Amino acid sequence: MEKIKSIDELRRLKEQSQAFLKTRQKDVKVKIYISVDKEENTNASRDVLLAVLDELKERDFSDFQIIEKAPMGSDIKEPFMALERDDLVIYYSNITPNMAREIIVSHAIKGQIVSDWVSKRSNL
Amino acid sequence: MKTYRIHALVCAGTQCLAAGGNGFKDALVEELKQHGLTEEVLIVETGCMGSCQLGPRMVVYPEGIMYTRLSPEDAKEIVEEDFLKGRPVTRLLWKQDEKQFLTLHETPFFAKQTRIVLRNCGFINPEDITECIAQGGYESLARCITEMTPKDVIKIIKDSGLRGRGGAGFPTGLKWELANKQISDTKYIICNADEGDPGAYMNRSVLEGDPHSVLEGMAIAGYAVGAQKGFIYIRAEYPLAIKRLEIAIKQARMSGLLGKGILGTNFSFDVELRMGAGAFVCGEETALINSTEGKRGEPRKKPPYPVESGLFGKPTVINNVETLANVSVIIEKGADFFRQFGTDKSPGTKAFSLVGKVNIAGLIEVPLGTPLRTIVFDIGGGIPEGHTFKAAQTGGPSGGVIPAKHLDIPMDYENLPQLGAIMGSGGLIVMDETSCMVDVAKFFLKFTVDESCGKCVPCREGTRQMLNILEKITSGLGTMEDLDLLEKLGNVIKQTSLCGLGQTAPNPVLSTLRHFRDEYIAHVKDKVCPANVCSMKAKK
Amino acid sequence: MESEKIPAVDKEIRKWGTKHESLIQVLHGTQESLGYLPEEVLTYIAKKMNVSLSKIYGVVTFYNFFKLTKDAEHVITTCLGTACYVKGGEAILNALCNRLDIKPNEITKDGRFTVRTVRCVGCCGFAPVMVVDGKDIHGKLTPETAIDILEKYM
Repeated sequence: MEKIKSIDELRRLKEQSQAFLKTRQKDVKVKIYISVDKEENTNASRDVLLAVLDELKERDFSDFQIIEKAPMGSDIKEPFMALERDDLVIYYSNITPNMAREIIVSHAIKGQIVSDWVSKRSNL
Repeated sequence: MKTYRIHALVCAGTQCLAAGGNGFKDALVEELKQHGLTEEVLIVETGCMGSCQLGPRMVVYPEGIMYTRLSPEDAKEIVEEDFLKGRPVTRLLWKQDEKQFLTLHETPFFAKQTRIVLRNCGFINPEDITECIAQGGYESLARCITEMTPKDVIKIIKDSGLRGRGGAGFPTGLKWELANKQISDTKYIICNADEGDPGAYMNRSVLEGDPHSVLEGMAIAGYAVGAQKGFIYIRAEYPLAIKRLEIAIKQARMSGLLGKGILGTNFSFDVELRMGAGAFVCGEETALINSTEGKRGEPRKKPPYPVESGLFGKPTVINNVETLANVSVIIEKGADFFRQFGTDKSPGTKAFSLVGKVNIAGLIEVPLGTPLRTIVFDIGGGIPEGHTFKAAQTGGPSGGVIPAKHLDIPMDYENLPQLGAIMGSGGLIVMDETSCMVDVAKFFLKFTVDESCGKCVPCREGTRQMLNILEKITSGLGTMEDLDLLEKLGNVIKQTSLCGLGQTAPNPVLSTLRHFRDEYIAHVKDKVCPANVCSMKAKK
Repeated sequence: MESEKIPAVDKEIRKWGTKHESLIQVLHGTQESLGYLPEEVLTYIAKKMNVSLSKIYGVVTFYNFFKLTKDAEHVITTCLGTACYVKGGEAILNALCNRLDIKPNEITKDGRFTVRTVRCVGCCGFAPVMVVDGKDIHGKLTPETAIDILEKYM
């Protein structure tokens, strides 16, 4: 723990620390919904989740929340991911860990929807 | 930076720990290891989350799902269902009136509360100063010492109308102004954390859950009045609060937010803890000063008031924990923001510990002026097991009772005294028809007789005589003259005692006599205790 | 004075200093190490801190927290705060005293137990409450469950 020497330093520390508390806040830039595996012996969704976490960590992006989501019905196939960003919810179904990484970099962080893979979109 | 997809906030307030919270937390840690989730789930031990009766409690973010009455056996299911599958474990949710609630914010318990003092309690890790800074902690202090003069600070506090939350309700800004005007090379700030009223634990919860809010308030007070040193006088019965304060003080010093030359300015302020040793009278400010000086905690004559001559004879501001916890919010958001809550003469909010015969006992915070009915029935969920509300007691041994016909009374500094009750520090004990009001009065008198320091005669001897009369009445030997004598004696003690303890000691008797005289009469004339509590040994 | 008690006192005096205002804190620390405050220790503190023994005695006896005699092995404290009181704290106290055949504040003949009362431990949400040995808090008691808990220590 270092001494804080000015009000500006304090404010910088505040911003940094706020990033750590994002999981507990109401407002975040991106909400990432990820499906959960139905059967005990499949890990497809879990692998997507781990890839997402790894990519977010790699990119040092913290303005997100991850929410696990139950199956959505026949039109959205697991493993799926939905991103809530800029008042839009975009669903990506039947994805792989590598696709998930791409979606995180392009959509979650940069705000560019990966339109080729979109299976459904809706306004908030 | 390391981020976690789940923050599991486990209440580590004294009550949840007492209910077995540690066992649950240990089990949760173990389950996370077993499932390889330690990198994904962060366990945060927080201060009190409020609904203490439903503890041990945990809130799981990002969704804020709240689990109640946890036992170690529940950890496995929560990890496998919630953390891994995203399915809330419904059997552990908050249930009330046949409904279940997923998050705290949906509950009727929370809906009518406004959290200013308790803003961070149950939300941050009180042992990590960075979590407090993330929530804006110490920014008000920084602004005060870099952008404002002491006079500016005092003006905002005066404009806010903040009144001392220890019970008496003295305007905080005025107290600071009086101390500011004193010419002295040394001045002191004392935080009164000698929360002594039985049934009251608001201050402890703030100290356990958000200790930095109090340290920041003290430093701002120090800047406003020109003091460089503060003491927190805290009950020895609060070991967890003491531990969290010690950690907080250490971290604040290491971060340069306490100590010499705070944030590169020439303002210096440091805080030390002083432990009380179990004497109720030490909550009275002059007795507290004597005790802080290492002496017997006997009160001193006033004047001189502590702002003129207090600790070691120097000008001293004594503020209550809750008062100080309000300060940084007022500086941050302004006097007008604060005045949005509460009433014109009693602005802001008040924390209460709502306990006794109520469905959901716990720590709450409401705007001043909130009707008692709202607190007991909406927030507290009413009286359990088909019993009926008889009275609420506020102000501990200095306070009085509010009977059912005054359930709509606004809880503030103006209305309560009109009923012979006081605001007090925030203990709010609900009683049903199984409580005997004469016995309640006797209970408090016994307390005062034990805790009277013995220095002045009216308090030492007078309360003892009142207790004797009450014992006479509760054993069936009372006479109607005794009731008059109680009133007469009570008024003499109020007028002639040296300190606040004696001056308020007769209140529980006088207020029950006023609102429940018929119950006294039943004891005296019919020789029966309507609530069937008193032994009435002398009954034939 | 028995030599083994000196270091505990010296440690506290080193920590808090010999100013009179430190007296209560020194007494706290000493009692925490020794369990009580024997006369010889108070005499030693008086000498070291240059305060009269009578003054120290005055302070020690003023505060409920300080004890002049050795305590029982297990101290059971029943809360008689208002919330515990309205929820039957007195019945808990009586049950415990009856079971041990002592009055409040007495120590059992074998020196193992004592039952005391406290004005509030602030666990009002779990009233009525008792504390064993100053750390284990048990709540939502009935006279029967209180006895069960007591018997675990017997």
